[in-house]
Amino acid sequence: MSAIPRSPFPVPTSIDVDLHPQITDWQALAAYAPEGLRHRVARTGGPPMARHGFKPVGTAYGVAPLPGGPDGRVGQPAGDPRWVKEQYLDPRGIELAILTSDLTSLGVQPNIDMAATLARAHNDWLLDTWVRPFDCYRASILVAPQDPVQAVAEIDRLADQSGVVQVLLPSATESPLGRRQYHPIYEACARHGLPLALHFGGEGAGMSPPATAVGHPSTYLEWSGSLPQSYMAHIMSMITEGVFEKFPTLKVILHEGGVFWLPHIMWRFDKNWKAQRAETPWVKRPPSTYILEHFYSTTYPLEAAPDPAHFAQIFDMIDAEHRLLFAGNYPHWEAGDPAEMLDAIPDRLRQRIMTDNARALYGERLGSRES
Amino acid sequence: MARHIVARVEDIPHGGRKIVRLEGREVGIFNLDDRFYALKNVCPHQGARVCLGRIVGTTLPSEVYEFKYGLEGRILRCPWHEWEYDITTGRSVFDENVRIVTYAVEVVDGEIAVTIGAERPAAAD
Repeated sequence: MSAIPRSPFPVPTSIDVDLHPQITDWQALAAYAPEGLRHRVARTGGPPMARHGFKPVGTAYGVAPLPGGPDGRVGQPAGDPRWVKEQYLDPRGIELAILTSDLTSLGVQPNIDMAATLARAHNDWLLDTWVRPFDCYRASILVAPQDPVQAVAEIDRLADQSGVVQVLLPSATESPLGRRQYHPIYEACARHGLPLALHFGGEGAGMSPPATAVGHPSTYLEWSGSLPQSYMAHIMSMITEGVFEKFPTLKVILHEGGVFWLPHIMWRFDKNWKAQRAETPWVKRPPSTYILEHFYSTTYPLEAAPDPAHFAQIFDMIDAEHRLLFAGNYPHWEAGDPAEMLDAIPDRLRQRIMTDNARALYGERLGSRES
Repeated sequence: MARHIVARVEDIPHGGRKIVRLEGREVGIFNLDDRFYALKNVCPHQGARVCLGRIVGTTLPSEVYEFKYGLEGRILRCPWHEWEYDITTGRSVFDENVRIVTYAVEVVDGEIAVTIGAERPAAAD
């Protein structure tokens, strides 16, 4: 057993909004696929998937507790929900974990019916194997945005299932997320009161545009460091295309993007809007007000600012008191233990970020599951 | 307070303007459909001579993907940063609390008079 829990978080309980269950047995997932595509999902290693080709140097899991054999190495540590609960959640006082997915490049897979099939199979598999048997897990509805019709159908199919708390949209997509073909997905989120989580993964792969604004990066270091560019573009697109005027209750969670770039786009955007608002007259308020009302950021990974005073300033700028959520990102700890990120958080914000903000965002859905 | 005769109505045609200097400041006199408005020639943003800007219309607040053009001849765009102001109120389009100083105007016997000293101060935000 390589799992040596670090010291517990300094709050009695916490809510982790980003845990990645891993698919260790594609046959198990294939059982949830429709008969016509089941044989393709069941292939060893899973169905054909377009990937960007970047991997962290060394292990992707860093200091994460890992199950496994004599050498302590395993292929996919987050395969067993009981082990993850006992070795990661419980020692750290994590009361609830919101499950995201390892299929975070789903939105740029060229075979859109296979992508929609994988989303459906993944969601049913996740509910059956992780969420229903364990009190501590909550589910995302993973959707493939290539076909918004199937994505909406999937949201409608599962929105009322006990344990479902949000919709998960991989942030690598064919187009900026404000484009109107995606609006039915937001309508479904708003209609069911489901927040929308965005998560990096497939930037640069498959049908995705290049992962940076100037072309394809060469290395994982360049790729991962550049990812907030796509959030910047998605945010500006969603605001200028009027998503939050059409769906004023929609909330969006930005996973793994950090926070220091947010004030930049808030204030650049506000400044430009004062002159250019006539182009998008439905954008009736300064863009930063939409950002502060509709977007949430997470703690994994926070930037490594050298001066702790900088965090206090940035948390004030982005209203972290209400808009920052604790994320563990287990088992993808290439950026370090999630507890390290919490050193930056002032005591007065700790309770908000570790639990209260998530409770306010997800509301009754967090506790809606009958145990 | 001081009342200044700044022009005769025929001096400023429909859609036209005249810049005058009154007690050390420049004031723009605008004619919109035979109603006259006086704005201080100072943008509350960065102090540009805002009354020299283009007189245009703009898109009105609308539903998403809907375009409603209006207020033609009533919008003054500052020449420096393109902020839009309603000539009749001095207020910016994007925030009514951002406004150019305005002066009381009256027309008596064909003479346009502007009163300096009773105006509301400018506000930038």
